[in-house]
Order: sequence, then C-alpha cells, then structure tokens
Amino acid sequence: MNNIFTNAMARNTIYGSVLVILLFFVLTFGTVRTLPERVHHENITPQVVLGKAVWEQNHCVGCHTLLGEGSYYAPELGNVYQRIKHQTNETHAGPFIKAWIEIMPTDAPMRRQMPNFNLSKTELNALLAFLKWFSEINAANWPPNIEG
Amino acid sequence: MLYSSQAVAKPYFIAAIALFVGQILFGLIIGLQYVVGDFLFPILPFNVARMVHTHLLIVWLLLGFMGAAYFIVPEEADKELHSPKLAILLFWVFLIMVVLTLLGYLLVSYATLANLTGNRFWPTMGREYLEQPTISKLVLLIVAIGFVYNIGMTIFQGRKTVINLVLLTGLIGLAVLFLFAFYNPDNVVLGKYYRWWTIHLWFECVWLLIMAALLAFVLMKITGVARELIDKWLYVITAAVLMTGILGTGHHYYWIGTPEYWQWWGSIFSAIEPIPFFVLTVFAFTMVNIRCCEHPNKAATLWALGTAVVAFLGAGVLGFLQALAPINYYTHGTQITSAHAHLAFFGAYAMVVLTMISYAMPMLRGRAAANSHRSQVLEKWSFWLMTVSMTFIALLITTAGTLQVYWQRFVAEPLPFMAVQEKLVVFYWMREVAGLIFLIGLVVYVISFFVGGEDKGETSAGVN
Amino acid sequence: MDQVVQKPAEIPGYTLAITAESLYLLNLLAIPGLAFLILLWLFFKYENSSPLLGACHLRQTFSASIWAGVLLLLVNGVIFAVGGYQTPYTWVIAVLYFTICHTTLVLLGLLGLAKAIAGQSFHYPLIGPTC
Ligand code: HEC
Ligand code: HEM
Ligand code: HEM
Ligand SMILES: [Fe+2]
Repeated sequence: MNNIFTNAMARNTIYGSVLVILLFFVLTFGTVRTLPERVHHENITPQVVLGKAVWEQNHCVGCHTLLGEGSYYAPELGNVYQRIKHQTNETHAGPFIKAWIEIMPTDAPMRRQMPNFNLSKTELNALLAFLKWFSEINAANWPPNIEG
Repeated sequence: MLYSSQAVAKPYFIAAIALFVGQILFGLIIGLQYVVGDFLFPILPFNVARMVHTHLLIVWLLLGFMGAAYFIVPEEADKELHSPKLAILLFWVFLIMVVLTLLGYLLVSYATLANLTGNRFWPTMGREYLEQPTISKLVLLIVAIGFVYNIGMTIFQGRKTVINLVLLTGLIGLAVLFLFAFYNPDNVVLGKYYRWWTIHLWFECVWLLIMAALLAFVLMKITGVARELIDKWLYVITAAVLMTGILGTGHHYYWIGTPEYWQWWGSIFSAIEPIPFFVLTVFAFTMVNIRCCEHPNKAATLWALGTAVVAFLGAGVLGFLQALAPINYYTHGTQITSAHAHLAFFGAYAMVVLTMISYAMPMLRGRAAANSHRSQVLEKWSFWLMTVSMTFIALLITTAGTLQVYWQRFVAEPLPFMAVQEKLVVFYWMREVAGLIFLIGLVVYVISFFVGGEDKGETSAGVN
Repeated sequence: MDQVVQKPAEIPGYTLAITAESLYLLNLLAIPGLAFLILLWLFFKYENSSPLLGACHLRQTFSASIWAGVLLLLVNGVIFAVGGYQTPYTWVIAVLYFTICHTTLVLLGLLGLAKAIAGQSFHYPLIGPTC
C-alpha cells in the first residue's frame, strides 16, 4: 500500500480541486446573470431598498426565517405577504401586516413575543414594500405551502 | 513546550473557555424562551440572546484557532514566533472588540446600535452570523490579517511542514473569505448568495482544513506515528475537503431564488461531502491503533477521537440527512437544520479546540506532558457529559423537526407555524434538560483545571 | 523510533482485510447489494484459505453485513407495516431508528477499517462472530 500510494501522489490529488473551483465560478456566473430576472430587479425601488435597511437594522432575521434562512423561532416571512393575502384579501393584506407590526407585543402570557420596533409610517410602508417584492421572487416553488 | 513564544497561546485559550461558558448560558436562555415565550421579555428579546449565543460561539472558536496556531506553528516551524508582542496586542484588540460588541447587543436596541455605529454608511448588519456592527467586522478583519501575517512570517522563515502549510492555507482562507461579509447588495438574493461564501466556505471548507491540521498535530504528538504517514493522510483529507466542500455550497442555493441547476450540483456534491469526515475518523483511529508509545495525556486522546466521531455524526450524518434537494425542500430552515448545526459545530470545532487545549494547556501551565490522574478523570467525565448531552440535544431537535415538517409542510392541510410549535413543547423542554446536563459537563471541565496532584510524563513523546 | 514493529502492510492477509471492510462500508453507503455480492464471493472463495487477519475481517464483515440488512430493511419494513404511512409518529420512529442504526453500523465499519489498516483484527460487537 505504502509504495503504491506515495506521499507525492497524495499531494497531487489536491490539484483536482482546481477543477471544482473553476466549475464553481462558471455556475456563479450563470447565477449572477439570471438573478435580475428571477428577482424582478426592476421592482427594487428606493422604497424596497429602504425596507431592506429597516429589515436588517431591526434584526428580524433573529427570530424569523427569510426563504428558510435565519432563526426558527417565528414564522417564515419570505411569503408572509401571500399568506396574509390568503387569510384576508389583496386590499387588506398590506394594512394587516402593518397593523400587526404596530400592535406588537401581544403580551400573551407564556406565548413567544415579538418586540415593538417603534417604526415610522415611512419605515412601515417601506418594510411592506420590501416584503411584497420579496414574496414575488422565483424560489423554485418553495416553500411547499402557504404556511412557510 | 519547545519555544517560549508558544506561551502566547495561553491567554487565548483561557478567554476561549470563558466565552464558551457565556455561549452556553445564553443557549439555555433561548432554549427556555422557546417554551416560556415571555421569559426575560422585553429586557432580553429572543433575537438578542440568540445573537449573543452565536456571536460568542464564533469568537471563542476563533480565539481557540488562534491560540492553537500560536502553539503549533513555532514548534512545527522550528523557530520562535515571528512576533509574540503582536500576538498579545492582537489578543487584547480582539477581546475588547468582542466585549464592546456584546455590550452593544445587550445594552441598546439593535436599531440603536446600527445607528450609533453608522451602519447606514456601509450596511453589513442584520444578517445571520454577520450581525456584528461594521466596525467590529473591520477590527476582526484587521486582527485576522495581523494574525496571518505573524503566523505566515514564522512559517516562511522556518521549517515548512505539511501541518503548517495546511493550517496556513486554512487561516488565509478564513481571512480572505471574510471579505464577503462586507458585501451587501440591494438585491437580497445576491447578498444571500455571497453570504454563504463566508459562512459555508468557512464551516465546510477552510475551517475544516484548520481542524484537520490541529487534529493531525495532536495525533502525531500523542501517538508518535511517523510524520510522513500523518502527512499522507493530511493530503488526502485536504483534497477531499476542497473537492467536496466548495461545490457543496450548492446545498444552500436550492430555494433562495437562485437557478434550479443548483439542485443538481448541490445534491451531487453534498452526497460526497461526508467523505472527508469518514477519512478523518479512520485516520484518527488508525493512528491511535498503530501508536508507538503511550502518551500520558489520555484525556487529549479521548478528545481527539471524540472530535472525529462527533464531527462525523453531526456533519457527515445529520448534514447529509437534509442535503439532497428533494428532502431539503421539506426540511429547509426547520429544527432539523438546528440539530445539524449544533452537533456539527460541537463535534468539529468546539471539540477540536478542546482537544488542542487539553493537549497544550498542561505544558503552557508549566506542568509535565499531562495533568494529574485526578484532573484527567474529571476532564474525561466532562467529555462524556458534554458529548452525550449534545447528542441528545441533536436527537431531540431532530425529532421535533421531523414532526414540524410533517404538520407544517407535508400533510394536505398544513398547520400554521405557531400551532405546530405548541405541539413540540415537550421536546423543547427535554432539550433544555439536556442543555443543563451540558452545562454541568462544562462546569466539571472548568473545575478540572483547578485540580492539582502529581503531573505525568515527559514533556514530549515521540520523535517528530 | 527504531522499534522493531512489523509494518502493518507486511502482515499476511492485509489487503484482504482492508478490502473486506471497504466492501462492508460500500454496501452500507454507496452500492448496497452489489458490494455485498462481491463480499459474498470473496467470503466463499477465501474464508478458509486465507491468512488469519484476512479471514477474520472477512468473517466479521460478512456476518455484520447480513445483520445490517436485517436490522435496516426488515425492521423498518415492520415499523411501516405496523404504523402505516399516515401517522407522523411512524415517520419519527422510522427516521430516528434508521439514522441511529445505520450510523452505528457505519461507525463500526470505520473502526473496523481503522483496525484493518493498522493490521489488527476487529470484532463487531454483538453482530460479528468470534474470531
Ligand atoms: C424577538 C423575536 C422577533 C423579532 C425580532 C421579530 N419578530 Fe416578527 N414575530 C415574532 C413572533 C414570536 C411572531 C408570532 C407571534 C404570534 O403569533 O403570537 C411573529 C410574527 C410576525 C408576523 C406575522 C406572521 C404571520 O404569519 O402571521 C410578521 C408579519 C412579523 N412577525 C414581522 C416581523 C418583522 C418585519 C420584524 C423585523 C422588523 C420582526 N417580525 C421581528 C417574533 C419576532
Ligand atoms: C447546551 C445548551 C444549548 C442550548 C439549549 C442551545 C439552544 C439554541 C437555540 C434555542 C438556538 C436557536 C435556534 C433557532 O434559531 O430558533 C441555537 C442556535 C445555535 N446554537 Fe445553540 N444551544 C446550546 C449549545 C450550543 C453549542 C454547544 C453549540 C456549538 C458548539 C451551539 C451552536 C449553535 C448554532 C450554530 C446555532 C445557530 C443554528 C442555526 O442557525 O441553525 N449551541 N441554540
Ligand atoms: C463541520 C462541518 C459543518 C458545520 C459546522 C455545519 C454547520 C451548519 C450550520 C450552522 C447550518 C445552518 C445554517 C443556517 O443557519 O441557515 C448548516 C446548514 C446546512 N448544512 Fe451544514 N455544517 C457542516 C457540514 C455539513 C455537511 C458535511 C453537510 C452535507 C453533507 C451539510 C449540509 C448542510 C445543509 C444541507 C444545510 C442547510 C439546511 C437548511 O436547508 O436549512 N453540512 N450547516
Ligand atoms: Fe453548508
């Protein structure tokens, strides 16, 4: 065994990773090219960008997931706009989400709590625009159902 | 210990253990908040405590890696560290950054912290694992660069062993890949895409190289097996890690808005991602099987073997369990993910740092090659308490996750998230109990440092 | 380190031992069935005619492979036959059982392989014959 598989040969196996890295770059190139279409880049308005900042600066991802990434303490928010729309209707979904965020926390004993972030009207509208834009991303049919 | 400059590792190890204790305390808090939802609310909301839990995890592991490198590199390079002063300076810079960041998390709201640290000028905050204010990230980057410089110069001027080179590759990769943490485009999906170049490529590529090098070093020292043989295994592990782990990143690109072809590439490469963990396990046990001598530090041997096995369980098994696209479609972002994250992190990284500490600390404290028998007995107890309880945590959370997937995603009439969580309370309570046992194990571990008695053995075994 | 230890690779039956353990693992991980058939063939061909080390690993892995089949396929079949596909608890038990059982078997195989590479014999606890 030792003579068949020498240290030099063992070392040379590492060069195989060059191929892998090249392939990774090719696939990345393909991804970056198709993303604008998949995320509807034209819909990323300044309001959506502001909404993203509100999202990040209030650390929503510390309790929620966004397309499955984040924390598993509270509901998925990538499709929350669709979910609320499903529960209410097109005209009520937006106001419902904003009202929800404003009336937090529930203060229901023992129940998991979401803090109140004291967001301004502009910030709330931006957050909503962000969530709405996000819910239209083509995520390969994920989540499996409306509950996230 | 062959070189006096290796002593700079000591403060790193001590700080690492202290922060580890903090991490577990916050883990228990969020574990309780899972079932008692208003516990400590609104003083310490879940997101803040969770952020402290993962932040402490990352930084104590980084401290452990840095300490380990400062211990190993001079010995392997056969010369004193390039600059011990720089190492100590960077230690304090890093620690102060960590503590200030923690205070920022705990004392003001996250939005205030973002505001105070000028996040609007260069927004990098608010993403998982990358919650640190931009300034903290910059300090971390500077420390990483200074550290790699120090280590690199030592290796450059000294003996270039395979262990040193693999370690250095991993450390350079760590610093370079961290650059992606500073990129946060308006297109959230693109941001998610590159976030994994830091997170996944850290955990499943460059950190693994670091881990393999640390393990190889400790195994070589405690088994006395010839260096050439260790090198050969290390080459194979390195190749396996790079060839599987890099494209394995694809398993995070299934459902975040990236093209469907990732479902193929991610699944294929994830399917072979357990290979490095197989090799690592066989490596560790083979080396112990063919050892030439009996090293007195039995605890370090136990940690080393344990690292290989638990890393295999957590990463190789629980990672693979959810890595194929058709399965991940249902399990993505559930408790099953959490179970894998816990066991993999504990097995691969927490345990390898503890292995290194176990091996190096007796010498750093001026003892002989190993602690006294009594101290080692305690250390072994802590090993079993922590390892077994963490395995139980993983199993309990996997169970909770399977049920969560079933009710929330699999059945024809799925239940809402919160309704499902209420059904899983019993598993979360049991996780909390297992977590308490973990804490006991950790306390026993800390106590083992304060147990005296007769030291054991010569300072160096083997001939490498 | 000038001890007079025999190099593992020079022990008779070394390659056969490693082959047997590898096939056991391949049967569990990559090519179930096929790897077992090869192991079966090796077993009948070499079991009585090979050096101690090889024969031991061969017997161990052969027996352990059969047990693995029983434990994984049969028991899981029974779990679903009794529980049905419709209740979540069947899935929980099946997933947990399969993961734990399969992982344990693989882990034993890794230990066996590490022994084989070291030129030592290995006994699968409970599911391996004595040898
Ligand atoms: C401390 C944890 C926490 C943080 C941080 C948090 N949330 Fe929540 N959120 C929750 C919890 C818990 C619920 C479920 C509450 C309930 O059902 O009683 C929830 C529910 C929601 C819902 C309703 C979801 C549904 O499906 O009905 C929305 C919308 C929401 N959060 C938005 C946000 C936004 C936007 C942010 C960031 C600005 C945020 N949350 C930050 C904990 C949190
Ligand atoms: C011992 C008691 C512990 C408890 C009770 C605990 C509990 C938790 C909880 C509740 C979460 C949040 C999950 C969520 O997002 O909803 C979490 C996250 C996490 N913990 Fe722990 N933890 C413990 C120990 C550890 C240890 C020892 C490690 C690693 C060595 C660790 C690593 C992590 C990681 C990496 C995450 C992020 C998980 C993810 O994003 O999937 N934890 N922990
Ligand atoms: C030491 C090695 C590893 C560590 C520390 C690790 C850690 C993690 C962590 C922390 C996450 C959660 C990420 C998040 O918060 O979203 C994760 C997710 C994941 N890991 Fe690993 N991992 C390791 C190895 C592996 C391996 C070897 C595989 C595959 C074979 C794997 C497959 C996955 C998959 C598929 C996910 C995504 C889960 C999801 O969809 O939510 N991991 N890992
Ligand atoms: Fe990954």
